Amino acid sequence: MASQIEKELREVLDGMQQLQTEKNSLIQTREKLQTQLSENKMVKQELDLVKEGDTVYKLMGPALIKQDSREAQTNVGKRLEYIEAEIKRYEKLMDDNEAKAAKAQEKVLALKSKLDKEREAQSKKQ
Amino acid sequence: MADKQQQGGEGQQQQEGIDIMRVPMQQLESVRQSLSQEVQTLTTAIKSLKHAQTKFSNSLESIKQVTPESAGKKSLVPLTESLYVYAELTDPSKILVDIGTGYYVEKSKEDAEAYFQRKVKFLTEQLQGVQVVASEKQREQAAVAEAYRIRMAQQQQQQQSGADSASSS
Repeated sequence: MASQIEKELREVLDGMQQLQTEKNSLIQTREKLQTQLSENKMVKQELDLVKEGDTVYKLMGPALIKQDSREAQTNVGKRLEYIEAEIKRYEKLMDDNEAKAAKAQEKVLALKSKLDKEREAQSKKQ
Repeated sequence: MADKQQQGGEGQQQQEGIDIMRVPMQQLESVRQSLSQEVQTLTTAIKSLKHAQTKFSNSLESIKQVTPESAGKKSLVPLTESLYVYAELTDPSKILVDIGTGYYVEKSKEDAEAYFQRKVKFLTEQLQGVQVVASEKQREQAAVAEAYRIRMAQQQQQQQSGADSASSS
């Protein structure tokens, strides 16, 4: 009986470890997105300041391609929207992860106390 | 209930809400570690901000060198790190500026100068903000380190006196 609880406990602990790794990679991606967001915001600001006579180019591979400044603005705007949506998505994933981790923690505590009781009972028998 | 009130009172007295002379040593140690990590991160941030600022002000200086008289002058342009070709400056009034994420804008010289000035100013503001936080954290770090040192000394003293009384009895 006790060994079964132990087995279960080990499984939950493994799950927690996995959640932790998942959390770390989530945080990393979230940070990357944040950097992209602020970079794109700055580009948007600059594109808003572009004057009539200025020419906008986009680097595509090794070549600079002329681009309509309004088109560039909408493109960056779209990219900003996309990044913001991604950030929201990752935030939700992080919340889910945290909730799962909390649940696992509870389970560990419950299993541990169960295991203690089991052992106590066993030692009394002996 | 009375206990809670006392704790609340203590929290108000101490800015951080915890008395660093009373928290468990283990906790103090972890606070010490996380503070030193934070200070390190902030120092790296300051370094890279300064680096970026230097790059922008160098660019600003470089375009100031370009004058209407520069037109037609020959210069060596790097194609790779070790390969240069002669080139002639045809239009010194236009400058191509990299504004990030693969976008380049051909601006007038004045606008390009304004761009770099704007960037330098922005970075200066960011730097000031980070520096304020960094010095705050450094102060906290020093306070925690000092408390840690005192607590360690106290602990050692206690152990010593404990050993003394044990040997004398």
